[in-house]
Parts: sequence; C-alpha cells; structure tokens
Amino acid sequence: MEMSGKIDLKKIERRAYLSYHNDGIIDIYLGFSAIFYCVCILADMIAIAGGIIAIIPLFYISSKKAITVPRLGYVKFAPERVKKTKNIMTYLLIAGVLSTFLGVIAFMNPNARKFFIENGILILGVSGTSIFSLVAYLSDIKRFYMYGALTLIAFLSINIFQIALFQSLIILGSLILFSGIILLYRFLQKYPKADQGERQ
Amino acid sequence: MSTEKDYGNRISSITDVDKIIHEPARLMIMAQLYVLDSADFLFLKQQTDLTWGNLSSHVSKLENAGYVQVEKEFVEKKPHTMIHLTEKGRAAFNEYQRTMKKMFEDMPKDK
Repeated sequence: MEMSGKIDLKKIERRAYLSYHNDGIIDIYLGFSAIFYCVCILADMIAIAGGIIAIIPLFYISSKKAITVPRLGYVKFAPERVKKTKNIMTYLLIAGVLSTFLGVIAFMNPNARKFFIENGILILGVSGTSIFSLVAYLSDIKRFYMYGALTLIAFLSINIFQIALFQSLIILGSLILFSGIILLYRFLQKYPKADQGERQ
Repeated sequence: MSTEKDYGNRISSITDVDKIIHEPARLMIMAQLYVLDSADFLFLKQQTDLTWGNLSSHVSKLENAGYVQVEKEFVEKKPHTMIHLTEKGRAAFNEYQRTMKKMFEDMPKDK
C-alpha cells in the first residue's frame, strides 16, 4: 500500500486473490491429470481416466480445505471476483460442449473427419493454449500464460521432433506438476500451519 | 491569488481526515476488507503482516467505531470468526479516500 495518498485497491484485491492460488495445488492436479490420462491411454484404460479426471475437482476442493485454508485463513471474495470465477467455469463448459459438438460433426462428416485427422494435433494445441490463456486473463494467474505457451510448444513438437502425442503430453504434464510442487513447497514454507485457537 | 482562506481550507482538510482509519495498520485492514466480502483473523494477519496482538487491538478499535463487524459463523460445522466491513465503514473509507485525494490535490506542487 502506498502512503502517498494513493491506495491501489485493485492491487490489494489481486494480491489477496493470488495468494490464495499460489499454493500450486491446481498445477499439481493439472499436471497429474495430463500424465495420468496418457498412462491410461497407453494401458488402454481410457474409461478409468475419464472417471478419475471427473472426480479430480473434488480432490482439489478437499486439498484446498486441508492445505490452504489452515495456513492462509478463510476468505470470501467480493461479488465481482466470484462473478469472474463463474465466468471462467462457464467459458470452460462452453469450450467442452463445443469440442464435443465438433467431435460429433467430425465423426459424421467424412470431409470434416479428414480435416480433423490431418490437423488434429494443431487444433488440440491451439485449443489448449487458448484455454490456458483465457483462464490466465480472467483469473489474473499469470503462470497460466506460460502453461499455454508450453502446451503450444508441446503440440508443435509432435510434428517437428516426430514424437508421440502421449510423450509430448507426459512432458507437458511433468513440467506443470513440477511447477506445482515448487509452488506448494514455497507456500508451505511461507505459511506454516496456524493453531486452531489462533485461527478462531 | 493564494489567500489565507485557501490555506485555511488546506489545514481544514488535513484535520478532517478520519483518525481511526488514518493509522497505517488500520488503513491496511480497512483496505483489505473494502475489496473483500469478509475474511477471518488469519487471512487478515497473513495479508497485513501484523502480529496477532496488533491485529486484534486494531480490529477492536474499528469494531468500536462501527466500521467493521466481527461475527461468529459456522464453516464446515466449525465455529469461525469472520470480519467484514459495515456500511458505515465503507462510507467512512470512501470519505477518507476523498479527503486524502483532495488534500494532496490542494498541496502546492513540488518545484
């Protein structure tokens, strides 16, 4: 806070919000999901991958309650911030529905199927990058821009270095997971667990 | 032409500053609560870097002034003390910002 008569309230709000999301938990789950998804594809257990990834949000919420809240405290953000978070969820849902819709079209139309087979990797890469960038823009979590760039590099590498999709995804997932572990380590060092009595 | 009246106005805007909010620690607490819906003591402590004693004492002063409200609520079936800005507190903070802005605007520019 600047005491020169200027109080940057936006900065204060952003700092409070970001401190809540600098625990690396979301990164760990994202990285883990990407790796787990690839392992399941390799093991021909795609149904299990879908099931596990669907319940990951529940694990995420539990982890936040077990790790973040006892160390950082409990906060309710202002309605504007809650609205922004809901917008992110809505956009992600729209992106999911749109992807499914495009997938169905690709299967039904031979021309579209050919286009998707030829350009699928690029489409997936650009989609992943766009989603990460959109989340970064709406949430102010800047490291998601870096994940977006990494996603694009990972998918472009498939054609450039002739590596398999799963290899590229495992590398991407590992990088995100590693980043999350570092963030979590820093978070745990910075915010040791407070006494229950102190918190109340 | 700068007159004694202008000088008087400047002095008056300085004395108009809300002393309860103007104290740096309380200003930090008020600014945090202004941008949030509500927060517990731990969250405010982590954001302001105040000690438990200081935080508690300043929150009490703000509560006595009617600027913040300290409420016990249940989160996950556990009692939790949450602090939020009252309407009076929000209005006082807005007024404080206006007064400070005016005060700095009225000050002679650095040559």
